[in-house]
Amino acid sequence: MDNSDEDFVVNVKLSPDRSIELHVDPNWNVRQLKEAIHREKQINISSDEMSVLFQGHALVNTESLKNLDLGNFSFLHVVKSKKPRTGQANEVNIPDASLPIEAYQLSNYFVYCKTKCFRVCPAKLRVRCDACHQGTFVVEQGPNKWSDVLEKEQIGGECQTESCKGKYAEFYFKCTGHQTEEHEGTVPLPLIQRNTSRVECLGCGDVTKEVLVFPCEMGHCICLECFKEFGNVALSHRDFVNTPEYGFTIGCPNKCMNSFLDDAHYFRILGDASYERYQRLATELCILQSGGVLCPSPGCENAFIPDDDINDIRCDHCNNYFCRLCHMQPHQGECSSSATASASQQFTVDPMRSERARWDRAARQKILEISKPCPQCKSPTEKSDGCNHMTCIALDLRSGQKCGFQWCWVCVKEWTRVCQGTHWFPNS
Amino acid sequence: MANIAVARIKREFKEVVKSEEVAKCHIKVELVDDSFTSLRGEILGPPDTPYEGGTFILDIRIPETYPFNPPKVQFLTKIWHPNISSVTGAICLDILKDQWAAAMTLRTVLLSLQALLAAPEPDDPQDAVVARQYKETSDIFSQTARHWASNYASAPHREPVMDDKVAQLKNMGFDEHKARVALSTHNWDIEQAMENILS
Repeated sequence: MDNSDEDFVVNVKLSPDRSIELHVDPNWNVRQLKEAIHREKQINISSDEMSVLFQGHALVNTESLKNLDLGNFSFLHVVKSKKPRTGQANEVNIPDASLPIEAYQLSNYFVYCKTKCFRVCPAKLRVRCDACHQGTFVVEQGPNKWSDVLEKEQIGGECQTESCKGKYAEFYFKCTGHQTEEHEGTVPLPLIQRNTSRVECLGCGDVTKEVLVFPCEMGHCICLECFKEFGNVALSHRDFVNTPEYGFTIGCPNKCMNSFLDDAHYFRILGDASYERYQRLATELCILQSGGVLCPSPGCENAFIPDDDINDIRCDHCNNYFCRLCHMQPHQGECSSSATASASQQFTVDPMRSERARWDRAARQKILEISKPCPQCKSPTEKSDGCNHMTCIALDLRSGQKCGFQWCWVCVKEWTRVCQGTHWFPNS
Repeated sequence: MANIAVARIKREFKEVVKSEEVAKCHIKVELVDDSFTSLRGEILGPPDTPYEGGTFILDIRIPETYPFNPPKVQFLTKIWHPNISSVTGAICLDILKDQWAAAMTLRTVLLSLQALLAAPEPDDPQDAVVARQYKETSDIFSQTARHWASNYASAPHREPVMDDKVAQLKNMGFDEHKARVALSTHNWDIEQAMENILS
């Protein structure tokens, strides 16, 4: 509908499995549209008995077609009016239909398109009957808030399909990034908003068209490009918080309290590789927190939940045999639970993995040379810069929490006032 | 460097150049090259401190992941301060580490460092020797800090007695800076300082 004076095509659904394409003049009103549909002779409803439903409303006869947001494979649904048209009961106006087309077309909803675009796309809110899933539904009232559209049975109404007794509206979002059939998977991302207030991005300072607004009191905004960068930095620092409500997530880049992303789909924006990394991290953390064990063999990724008293574990996937606590070969006596790689250790590797094992041993050797283990969780730690006061950001394998141990790079022990007083700096 | 970091630094650079503090000559930022990854900062020693009137030069490195990671900042001008290494100029200030937030800027970093000069935090010391002196003999600390500021940061107030002691050791053939460090660490006791250099 970019050129509002040219004829265009609308899709009209006559029944669940029958639709037609109709060339229409944008200057027509709904009455003229009904007459055109009737002239097609594929439907046995007179234009007087006919209801044309769109976005949960029966269109009024005087409505002009060009005021409706009909582009992008939108469907109009034609039904025979269920009740005699005595009043205006279901002739509810589309609330925004009086706005200029440009404003109407500026979508205020954004989704992650999982089917075709694989990115954040503007979306249109659509409604259908929650029983028969047809668009032949007339709502009692429009939705006012996100929970109205995201939660079930919030908005009532009446399904106009004969024989359907649907009483509740079901909302969904239609990606505008590609031409689509109506019922496809999109994930609404309510924190992403059109930047109508022209707020500067917290990261780059640019004023972009869309922003992600963190749910903090300040409502800090970040553009989607910066969000990618921010999310990837958070992933590499493992700067994740386990929240009871949303699982593993990240907070506002300005460190505001209780300002977390409430849906894992936001991490889709980071790109496929990072999203996979996020998922793997979140899964691992979840397994570890429920007392599980991950097979330490490179690339295996098998997980088990062994009995509490069993320490020697054989992986039923790659046959790796290891101690639950130190991840090394099973051993006699108490485990020192040092997960530090020992250069002389032997791996139980199957021949298929020998290449990888060689590489792995070389890598471990290199890690041993350049790193020191965190005194608490034994994570190999490399110091690239800064003072000798180390704060461990590794995830502790036992608790699934960030280790957080404060230690001294020189002593490789807990950080003390003595360390602070004598060798805080590398050269002093 | 990542576009985000460049875009952000360009913007901040303009802001800081136009800022009130720059107009009053309290802070300054300059580019080292065209890349916007390496900058030179300058802060004026705050009034009523031993650093008053001194000009302190800072090396500022912008990481690729700026502003989601903090800039790396260190003093190029030698300084005597409990929270700054007298040897390397490194600063262990929380906002330059885990307390960094994306809304902080070059300007706020420079102002924070200026505030740090005015209010050292001896209970969270960085340079242990300096911190001990600050707590135990605050007069000597102030004079030493002023002496360093006049010699390295062109601050106007000199400490003639200390200048003389450094000159004495220098005349004996010792390196001036080594002599100053030794004297500063040994509360300006010439004999102890000499012993320290020779040991």
